[in-house]
Amino acid sequence: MKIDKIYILLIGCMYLFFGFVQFLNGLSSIFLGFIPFNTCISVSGICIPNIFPDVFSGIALLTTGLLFVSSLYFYGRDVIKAKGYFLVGWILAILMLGLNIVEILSNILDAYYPILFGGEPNFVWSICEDSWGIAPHLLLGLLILPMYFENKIYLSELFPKKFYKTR
Amino acid sequence: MIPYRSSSRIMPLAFLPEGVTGIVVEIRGGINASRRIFELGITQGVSVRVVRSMGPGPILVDVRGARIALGRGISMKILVEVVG
Amino acid sequence: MIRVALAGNPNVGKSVIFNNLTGSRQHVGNWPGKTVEKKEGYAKCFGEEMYVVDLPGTYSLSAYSIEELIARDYIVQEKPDVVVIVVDASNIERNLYLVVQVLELGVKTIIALNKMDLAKSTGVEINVKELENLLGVPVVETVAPKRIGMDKLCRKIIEMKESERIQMRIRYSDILEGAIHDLIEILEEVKEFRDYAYRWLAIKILEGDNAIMQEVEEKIKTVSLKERIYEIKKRFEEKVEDTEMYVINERYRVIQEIVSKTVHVSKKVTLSDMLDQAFLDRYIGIPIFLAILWILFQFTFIVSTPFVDMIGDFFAVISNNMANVTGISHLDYLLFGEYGVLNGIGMILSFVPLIMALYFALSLFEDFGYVSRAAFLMDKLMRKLGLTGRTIIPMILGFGCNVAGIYGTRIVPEEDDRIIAIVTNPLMMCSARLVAFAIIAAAFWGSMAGTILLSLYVIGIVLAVFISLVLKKFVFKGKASPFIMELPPYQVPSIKVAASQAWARGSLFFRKAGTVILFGLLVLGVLATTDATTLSFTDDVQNSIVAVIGKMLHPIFAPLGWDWRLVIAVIFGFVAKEIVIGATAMLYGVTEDEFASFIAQHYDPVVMYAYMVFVLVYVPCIASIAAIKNETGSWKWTLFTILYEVSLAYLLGILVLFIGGFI
Repeated sequence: MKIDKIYILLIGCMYLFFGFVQFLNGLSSIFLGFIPFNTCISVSGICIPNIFPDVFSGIALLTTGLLFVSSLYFYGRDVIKAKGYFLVGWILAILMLGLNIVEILSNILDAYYPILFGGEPNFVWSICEDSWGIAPHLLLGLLILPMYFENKIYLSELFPKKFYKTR
Repeated sequence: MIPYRSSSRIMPLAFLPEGVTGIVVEIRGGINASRRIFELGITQGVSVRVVRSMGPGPILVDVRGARIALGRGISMKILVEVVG
Repeated sequence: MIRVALAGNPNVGKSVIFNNLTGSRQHVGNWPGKTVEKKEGYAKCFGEEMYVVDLPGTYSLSAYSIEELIARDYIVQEKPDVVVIVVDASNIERNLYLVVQVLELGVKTIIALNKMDLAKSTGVEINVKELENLLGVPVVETVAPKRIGMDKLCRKIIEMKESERIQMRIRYSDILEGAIHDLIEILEEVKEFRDYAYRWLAIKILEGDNAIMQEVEEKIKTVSLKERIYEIKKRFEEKVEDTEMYVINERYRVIQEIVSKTVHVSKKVTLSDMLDQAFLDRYIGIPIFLAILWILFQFTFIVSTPFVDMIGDFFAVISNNMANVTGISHLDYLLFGEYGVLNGIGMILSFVPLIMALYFALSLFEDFGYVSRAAFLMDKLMRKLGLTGRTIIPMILGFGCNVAGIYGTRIVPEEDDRIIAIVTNPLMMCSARLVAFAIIAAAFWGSMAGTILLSLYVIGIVLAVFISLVLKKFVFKGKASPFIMELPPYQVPSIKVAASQAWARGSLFFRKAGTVILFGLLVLGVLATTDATTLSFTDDVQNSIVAVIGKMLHPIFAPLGWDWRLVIAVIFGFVAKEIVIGATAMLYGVTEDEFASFIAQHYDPVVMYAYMVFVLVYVPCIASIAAIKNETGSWKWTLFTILYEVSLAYLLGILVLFIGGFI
């Protein structure tokens, strides 16, 4: 079980890191007009992850990271609190993963919908130029997703349908 | 008036720490202010468990199987006898 | 046609059952003269037609809240054939409080024991047969989102309609039953109360129910009967002291007996408890709230953007092709021009994806159970500002679009708080104004534009708080609603419910706000294209009636440093804030792109800032006004909002100039 905890710690720290960078970049781009930190780690031309400047997105990532790291802190003292923090962090992570996916799909739709009516695409979409692209939300969300299986028992209370047999 | 068995074990719900259960002995204040309280199941003799009580601010209790949030003002008016 | 009424506590899944029954054959409106939502619809079950009314969710049937009065008046006066009480199985003890009161009414009742799945998974086991036996009414187990139990419910409703009156199985204490019996004897003689449920009336009289006591006093003409009623009530009072408390306690005593015989709980710590460790934590709960808000907004704008673009393109194409269809220039311009009817419809339609996406996401969060937690978290802070916790949601929605914010005030339970929330919502700077201000701010303040915009947001919020405090203190006489709220257990939100909510709100907006905006645009369009002197068509706004009006009003606004064009832009803004920039540019004869540099050269920054403050505060767009009228149900509040905002805007404009003079 130790490996799980280290995994969560790592991902939690990444959330904290990327969130912090996003937050600072966002803040300074609004008030000071420039972006201090490099927002791109280029992998064959694509930014992975794409840390676009955005204050609130940064807060969301930071909060998720904080929840994961804190859950480890509470693990010895208050198991219920630890589990609770982790589950909420997981929920937020999955929500952001979904958001990233929706963003990409929506941008693709925005670019190519004219084709449906026999016209030319509005613009050519590519993942490198997408406003979100492969952002931390997508990456980290995918990494934390598998933790579902370890926590199925708890989360299944949200999906109680299987508990009830139809008469 | 309800005769108190041991007055030190009776206190406003507001002072009950987290995790502790109390039995409601009296609800102060007029019927108009308390009506809402009764409708949600907090009546004399019912058992109330404090789920969350974090400094100033509303407290969260478990009453008749439901989670009810109560403001400080109201929880000061509900007197309970501590049971555990 | 079987007339069915749905009753139940809030958050029990009543609306899902309503949707299951009525599907798309439903209509959402308001109860006459009230701000409470009324849902009614038609259902077809096994060949039988049913008319279903979804009564407001209530915990009780007392006379002390609008929702309760509406619910009980409906049952007493409209006399539905069957009342279906939806009960949350995972929370059954408290839910029975309402059930017991409905049973006092002696109407044909069926209980839909909903959320059976949640109950089972949290370790709650219920002996349904015994429950039916003790209550004396059919109990149908349901899992509404999965439609489990719906067929059986339908069948029971049809059976019930045919069957005879149900037996009153519930008996209170001898003292109470004795008094009830005595009262019923008298009430049966009272011809004014001939159609009433006697047992219920008797209990209400003994309880001292305000509304009923008033009816007893005013309606009964035979003095001797009235006196005997008061006599029995007095005798009862002498025996029990606080009569209302006694009856309430009796109900719970009976409930506790029933529960002890039929319900068994095995589990202790639930998932909800675990999640609430984080969601309700006083430190981390706040950033979680901000994160969720952000997710909500991002989702709304991301999802709606392509559709908004599609609609925009679609209408642009049509209006280009139809530009000169009729050949009558006035009509052409009115119908297909820049601010014509067609584009007006397009603009209104472009709001719809936004509203639908917003309500879709919001419904998911509410269904999940998070919204009440957010209200809980925010409550302490909000109370200091004269608001309640639930008000935070419509305030946040208002930042996206005031129309959404105003409709969002449905979440606020207390009438007073709801009105305050509605009336202050337009002060939340909506995205339309943000766009206009962003252009102006960028023109004058360059890279500091962000700070300027932030200051405008803050001004809006501060004003909203101020107005709320004033209203709360002077108009609503500082009635402090005690904070007490139930937090339902978390559950997986239903996509179906969210989708139907989204559709309902979106189409409601289109129909209601749409007609108003269209009308406004038409009027504006005519005035802007009719030459003031010749009354013929003109495509030069400077000669139009609107220009004349602008010039006439100009002296009023001269102290603010505007010229008549800005006055007209403000009039245009009344219809929709989105067109302010475009309209102003047109009046100056520049394109929208040149507009920024143009005003930077011609205007003083302080004057422009005052202008933005004015536009921020003065009057919400016509769609919002329509929404206010719909949600408050009165012209009084709508006019009040318009008046106070215009006056406040003017005063602030002057104030800004005054202060600006010193900088």
